[in-house]
Amino acid sequence: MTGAGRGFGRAIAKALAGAGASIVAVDLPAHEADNSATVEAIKGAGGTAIAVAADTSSMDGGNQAVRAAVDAYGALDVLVCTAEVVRPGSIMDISVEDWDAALDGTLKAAFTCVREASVVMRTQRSGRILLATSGLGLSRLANNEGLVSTATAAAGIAGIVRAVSKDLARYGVAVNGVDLDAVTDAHDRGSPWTPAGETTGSVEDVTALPVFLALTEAGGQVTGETFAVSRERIGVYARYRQDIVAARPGGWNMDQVKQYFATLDAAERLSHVSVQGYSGAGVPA
Amino acid sequence: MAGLLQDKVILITGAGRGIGRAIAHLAAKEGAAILVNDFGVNVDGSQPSEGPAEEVAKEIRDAGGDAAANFGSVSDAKDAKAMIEQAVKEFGRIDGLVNNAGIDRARMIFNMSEDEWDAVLAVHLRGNFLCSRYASEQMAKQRAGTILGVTSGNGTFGTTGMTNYGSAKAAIIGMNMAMARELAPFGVRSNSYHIGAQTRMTAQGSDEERAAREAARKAAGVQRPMGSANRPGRPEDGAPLPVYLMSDEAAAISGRVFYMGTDSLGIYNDLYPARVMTKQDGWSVDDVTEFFSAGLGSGVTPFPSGPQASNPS
Repeated sequence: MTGAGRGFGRAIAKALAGAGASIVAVDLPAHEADNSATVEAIKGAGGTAIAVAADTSSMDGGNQAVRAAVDAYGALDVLVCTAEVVRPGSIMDISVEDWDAALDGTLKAAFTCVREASVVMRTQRSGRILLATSGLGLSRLANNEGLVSTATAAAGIAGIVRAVSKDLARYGVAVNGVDLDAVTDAHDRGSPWTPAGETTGSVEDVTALPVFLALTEAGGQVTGETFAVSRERIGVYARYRQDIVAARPGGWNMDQVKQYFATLDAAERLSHVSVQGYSGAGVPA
Repeated sequence: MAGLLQDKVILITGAGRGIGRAIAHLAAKEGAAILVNDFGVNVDGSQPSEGPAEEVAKEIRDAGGDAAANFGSVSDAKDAKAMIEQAVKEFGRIDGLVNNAGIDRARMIFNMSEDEWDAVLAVHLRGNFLCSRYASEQMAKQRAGTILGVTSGNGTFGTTGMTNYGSAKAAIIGMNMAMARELAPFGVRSNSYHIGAQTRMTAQGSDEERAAREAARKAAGVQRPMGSANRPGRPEDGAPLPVYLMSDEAAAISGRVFYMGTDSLGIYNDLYPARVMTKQDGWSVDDVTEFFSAGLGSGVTPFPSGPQASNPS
């Protein structure tokens, strides 16, 4: 479990331990106190856990995390990545340093652990990988304004899920994404699919789906999907689909492309195309 | 007759060859002044050269168009900033940015090196970010402009042996959706698209890797991006899509994902959770198990299935 010192990571680590799993709690060296508290809480409840201080934004860190599991328990059955570095800012004003910190600490941190875990799980011919992502990067209805780095990392993690599930299918390793919607220090945007007025839960309220996917028999029979969970709701994200397809054997010229879009417009499809609240005309100078 | 991009200034990265070059030529034909960027590297990102960008700029000028060349690396913040500055200095503004530059280093996840991840992410994702970052500042000042991110079926569907490329291409969609919201108040638009053609990049990888990509595409029911059954895709086949998206005719379109194959043109769906189930007093693992078999699990990828079902695990 990466990001185990706080928020979703701690809650899911505790829930997995409560369901009988032995935990390797991984978090940044700077979060060592929090991470130790997670391990102590698990042990206090009669569970098994060790703490590993590692920065998984480098391959060395990912390797350290995975090796710790194999060294301590002789196997790695489940990898859950919730490590996330949040750096608010819009595309116009985010600094390059903040961008790199967010992308390295979230997207690359997932990659290094998945890569190192895939080596072990491929040899085992079994394993499950669960990566935390966010609707902020998946739906254009999401309120992701000012969180371009978060949206980008989340979308990239969903991309890892789709690609790696294909690489590892023949080895019996399942890879899925989870969009966890709850109130944490880092998240207060809510989810585009949770109706206004519905109470947003705590991190403890969204652990049942990750535990299901990580440990149950039925939960091991799915791969390449991204699920969404909030206190009251569970769903599975639609897969990408190419819609409103028009085909012209022989190809398209500029006028024909214009005509295609004009047809969409006439069918009022373009009203679904524009960003909510955006009007192309009359922008004040 | 005035072209679709008359008097607009367009920067296209990776425009020295392949699809980028085709977009540059069509945009110029439609009346735009073009800043042709190309770092001039091999498909794996090695051996920079000024040749390709200069050559395309010259081709455009020889055809009566307006073009200048830029040789910067999109993954270098100084170079990316300088690119936007050059467009403004030479042509007075920037109306369109096509983040087309890309490299490829295909590898199965369990063999992928840190360097293979870093190199591909640097060009595709960080390069997309850096150019968009500096272009958006200028476009917001102008109260006009369009940014295009280039994604791929490898990002939307996932392809074996391409975690680095696929993740970067998926991330670009998230970035462009956020940018669409952030830039809307300034009259600036952002969309993603992918177009398919046979280029030196699609010829990459071993025979086995190419066969595996083709099989995965078939299994996912995805059109072969390099062409139709009848003919291979040419780099110029898809160029009308980005050109249209940068035109004023597309003024209402932002935050969406388009694709163009050799013969086909379409829009991607938005992703949102389907088959949502509600339980007002919260979920236990047993509840989830029950609801999964009752409907949530229908339609999801069955697993294990196929060859892996014979594994002892």
